[in-house]
Amino acid sequence: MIQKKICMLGAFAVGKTSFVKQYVTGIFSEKYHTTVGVKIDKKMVEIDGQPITLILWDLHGEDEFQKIRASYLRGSSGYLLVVDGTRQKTIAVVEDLHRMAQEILGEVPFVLVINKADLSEQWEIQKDAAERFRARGWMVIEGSAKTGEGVEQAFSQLTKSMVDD
Amino acid sequence: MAFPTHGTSTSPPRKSPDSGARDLKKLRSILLAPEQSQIETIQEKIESLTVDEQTVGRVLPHAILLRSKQDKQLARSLSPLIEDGFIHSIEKSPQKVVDAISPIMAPAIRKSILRALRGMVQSLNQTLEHSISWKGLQWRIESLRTGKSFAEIVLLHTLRFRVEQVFLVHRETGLLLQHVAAEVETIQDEEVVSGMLTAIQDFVRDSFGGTQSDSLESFRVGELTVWVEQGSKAILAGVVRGTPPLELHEVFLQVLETIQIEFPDELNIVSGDQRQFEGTRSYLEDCLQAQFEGPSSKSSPFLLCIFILLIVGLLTWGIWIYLDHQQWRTFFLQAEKEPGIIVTSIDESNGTLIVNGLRDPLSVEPTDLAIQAGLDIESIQFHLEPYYSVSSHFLELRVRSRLQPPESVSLSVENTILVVTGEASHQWVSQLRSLEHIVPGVTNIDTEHLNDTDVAQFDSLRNTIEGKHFVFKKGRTRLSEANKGKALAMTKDMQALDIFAERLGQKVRVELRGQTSQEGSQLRNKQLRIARAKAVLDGLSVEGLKSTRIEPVEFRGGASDHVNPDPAALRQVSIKVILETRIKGGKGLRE
Ligand SMILES: Nc1nc2c(ncn2[C@@H]2O[C@H](COP(=O)(O)OP(=O)(O)OP(=O)(O)O)[C@@H](O)[C@H]2O)c(=O)[nH]1
Ligand SMILES: [Mg+2]
Repeated sequence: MIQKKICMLGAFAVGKTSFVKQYVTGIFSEKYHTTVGVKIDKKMVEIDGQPITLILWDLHGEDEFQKIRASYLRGSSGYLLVVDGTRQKTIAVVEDLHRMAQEILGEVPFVLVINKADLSEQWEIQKDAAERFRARGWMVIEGSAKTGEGVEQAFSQLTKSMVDD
Repeated sequence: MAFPTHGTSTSPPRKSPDSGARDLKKLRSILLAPEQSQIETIQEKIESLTVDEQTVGRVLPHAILLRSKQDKQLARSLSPLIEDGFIHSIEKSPQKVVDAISPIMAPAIRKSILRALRGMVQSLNQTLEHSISWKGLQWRIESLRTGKSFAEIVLLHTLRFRVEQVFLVHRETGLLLQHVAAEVETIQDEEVVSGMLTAIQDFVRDSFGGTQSDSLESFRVGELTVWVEQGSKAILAGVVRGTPPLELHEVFLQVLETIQIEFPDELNIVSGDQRQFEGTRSYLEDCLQAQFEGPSSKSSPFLLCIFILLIVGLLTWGIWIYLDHQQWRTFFLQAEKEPGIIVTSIDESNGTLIVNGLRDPLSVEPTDLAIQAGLDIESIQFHLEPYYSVSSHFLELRVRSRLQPPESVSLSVENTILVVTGEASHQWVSQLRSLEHIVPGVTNIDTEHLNDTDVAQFDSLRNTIEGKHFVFKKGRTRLSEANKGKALAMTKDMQALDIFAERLGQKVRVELRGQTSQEGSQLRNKQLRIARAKAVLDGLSVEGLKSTRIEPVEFRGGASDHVNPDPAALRQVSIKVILETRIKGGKGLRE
């Protein structure tokens, strides 16, 4: 059995935990329990007929009090950068985190998720934000941990590029 | 060889072109002879290089060693050949392969069987050891309560420690490389646990500011202790139930070191493919150790005594119940067979058993039956209502007890008819007749073959008496001496007759009939008839007769009876016994 470690990175309350939960169990909850440290889940998938166990490291959100520990990132085959569409500030956080990840992991595949697509009318970020990131060669997915939109897609794209790597 | 010397030549030699070439050759051979021969040897060698096996044999091992250090290409290209060769060899001479590998396989198999057997024997020992003790009893209850098997409960209580699971985790990525478990319920998400283990390690190290080599060595979760051994590349974590001895650390460390030495490349670049670490499984299994409490102090003799007493008590009770059951069974069977007893139910009240039913008073005593069956009659009461059984047995008994028949009589009841045969006194026979409707169940009495002995005697006496004649001579009225004797003898018969008449309740009149021949005057004949009858009466000395009256009468019937009578035969006194009352009953005396 092949295992791959994936980290969830992003500012606090962007919906990292919700995204993983939606992916693993198909359940969404409105309640917010902030993640302390790290929470690990797993999901079995098949890519081109090959079974793979994804070990999903859901890290606590980054803010001024809590910096992401480099040790949590080590050994990741890829990561998801998550921003909250309703909060412009969360973009700057993932930019930082992306730099940090690159330092630790080198060039590994990652996907940028712009979460909370179900609240798109309340979005603060510019409409063309996704396009601008794509122009930098990033894989970008607009989705929602609430409705499940883009969840499967985000993980499968990341997994695929990790395997092809 | 002669060398031309310049000093000795007087004139320069004239040279032809042929001789020039020869000279050059000569010169070359002089100058380059050693090199020439070396080149020739080398040339020879080069020409023979392709076929020289000795040389190849010399360089080959070194070449293989060199190449395998560089990359894995050689191994890759050789492996199909080696595989084919191996298969071929097995097919051709399997025995050789068996001989070759058995020294390795046999100990491995033995070791594995031994381990399994040891485990089994250990758990059997413990189960037996704890079966007959107070603790064992408590554990049995616990097993019932919790639904776990008894062996499992014993195991949990006697367990000092048991390594239940071992994780081999890649230190950097937290990916699970290998996982083994003892035969217990294991955690489902080994991969998640493995990740969390490293995360916790990192968290602790970062939070408490330790160096890279500092780490969390163990933590407890309920009854479980998690031991973590840190290596440079990998982490070995054991989940241990109970309290492990410190020496176990040594075992863990040893295993971790061995793995790190044997799998350096795999640990350096982790692809996440667990198959690479299949070889570590047997090492991890060495960590699955367990230790149990040695045999505890012998089970207390007091408890053993109580246990034995309990068993004996139970056995006795069982036997008693069985015997009691058997006794009642015998009683019921006996009562069922016994005519005149019907048991309808058995009740219990205050420790006394009450047997309800019906009983013919002539049947056997039910207590006798109970005693015969071995029952304790003190604890039994019989509430048996009396009833009349109309079975022939009881009808016969009842008739017998009523009639008290003499031995000469036999009784039997056939289809409600009482058949009486034999002989009996008149008194008994009359009693029998009067009882006809008194015994319920008897509808008729058959006395066809029953003789009344009194009637028979009476008849016989009567015949004797009536058969006697007192003959007189012509004109005479006095008894002759012979007649006197006769009269005396008849006196006794009369007295006997009187006794029987009395027994039969019969009044009897005996006529002494005086008779004469036709000769002589009628008057004279009448006087003679009376006188003769009186003379016989006088000859008898019968006094005190109770039922018999003797009457001298004149009798003239004889003349017409005989057509030509002998006159001498008519001069007599004949005797007639006449019954004055009729005897009751069908069968009696003639009139
Ligand atoms: N409407 C909507 N709400 C969302 C979505 N995803 C997350 N939420 C909500 O956002 C809040 C935070 O979600 P989490 O998943 O806990 O966020 P997080 O990134 O794990 O937060 P930290 O662990 O504190 O870093 C919760 O109340 C969620 O219900 C979404 O797609 N749509
Ligand atoms: Mg969270």
